[in-house]
Amino acid sequence: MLASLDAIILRYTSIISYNIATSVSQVQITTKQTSPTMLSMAAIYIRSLSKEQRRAIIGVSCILGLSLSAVFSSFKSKQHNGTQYVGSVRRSLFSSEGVEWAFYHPKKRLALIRPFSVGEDAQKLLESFSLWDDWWPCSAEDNEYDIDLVLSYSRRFNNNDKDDLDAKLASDIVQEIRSKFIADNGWGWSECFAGLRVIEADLDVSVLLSCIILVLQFIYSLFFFLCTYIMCTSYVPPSHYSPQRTNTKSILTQARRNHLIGYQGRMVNSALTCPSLWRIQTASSMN
Amino acid sequence: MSKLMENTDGVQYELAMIMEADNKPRHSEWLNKVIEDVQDKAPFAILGSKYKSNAWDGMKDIMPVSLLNHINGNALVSESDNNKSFHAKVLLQLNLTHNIVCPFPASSS
Repeated sequence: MLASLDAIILRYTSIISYNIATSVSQVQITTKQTSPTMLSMAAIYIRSLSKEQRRAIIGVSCILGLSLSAVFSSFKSKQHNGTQYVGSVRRSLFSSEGVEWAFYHPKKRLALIRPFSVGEDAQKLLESFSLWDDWWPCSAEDNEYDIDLVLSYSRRFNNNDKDDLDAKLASDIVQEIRSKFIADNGWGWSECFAGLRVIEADLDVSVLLSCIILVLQFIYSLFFFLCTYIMCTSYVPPSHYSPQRTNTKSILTQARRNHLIGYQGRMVNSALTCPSLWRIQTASSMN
Repeated sequence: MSKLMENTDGVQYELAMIMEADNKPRHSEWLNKVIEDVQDKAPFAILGSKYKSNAWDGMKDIMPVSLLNHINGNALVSESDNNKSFHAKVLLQLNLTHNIVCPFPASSS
């Protein structure tokens, strides 16, 4: 029975190791060919360990797998196509529409970034800007900093999908703010800014997918951890089972009675772990 | 964040102030006061704080630590060369511990 239990544990450990290897390969730290190699090496290494070490490694693997999955999924969620510059309006002494950059900027540059998405977020952004009419950001242009207002849309304005209402709505919002910025012509709050820039963060649904994968990996790791925990804490070999040893206390009492503490004190101290329980019980039964 | 700052038409900013969409001013000349704060507190990598509000008090016990301790979306980030490696380390550490999460899609260069 113990032999078959070890086989199950070995199988679980291998699966968890494979899970870790797969997680690693997902972020291209290793190649696709590395996962089977890692699995084989892990299996050979695990076979050389004692039963207690094998059982301990399951817990470590669960925690490690969970941590790695979380970290790698987090990294993966940050892999977007890159922020794209969309356009800008540059205030100039020579044109109200804004022209090219000046060649020399003695001032430091500060970007006031307003990230937004469509829906409720967009409405709040417009409301926020409308409040700027009453609460001006500045009294005069700052002497030390050139401040740019940067509108950062979370997705893409032009994704080749004519039915994408979100992109159209986002474009409308930007256009409204841009019109306001230009129309002020230096008399409104736009005076506080050297220019208006529009960028797109180009986040897509893969971020949501990464979050779902993260949750599934968490449940997956938790499942194996719970299985292992239940198996270790509730399993009693049937051949040595007796009604007097139904709980940990009776097992410890039996161990003391059989003078196991003297020469196996370390095991008794760790009697709450399953390997020690089995060993004490086996030794007691033999006596 | 570095990518975001570098891809705005090739312009390099020293400072980035992230201001969430629902942020509302409470008095005039607020941007001047921000600049004053910058001058007072410089040098810094991130000028801001973690989220402070009593909006979640009723359900604080059931909320994840990462959400309770997330960095407020309104903060100043210094993008000087000295801070780039620091930001990379901070982002990595934040992700490893999962006690604090970045509110904005930041990508270290």
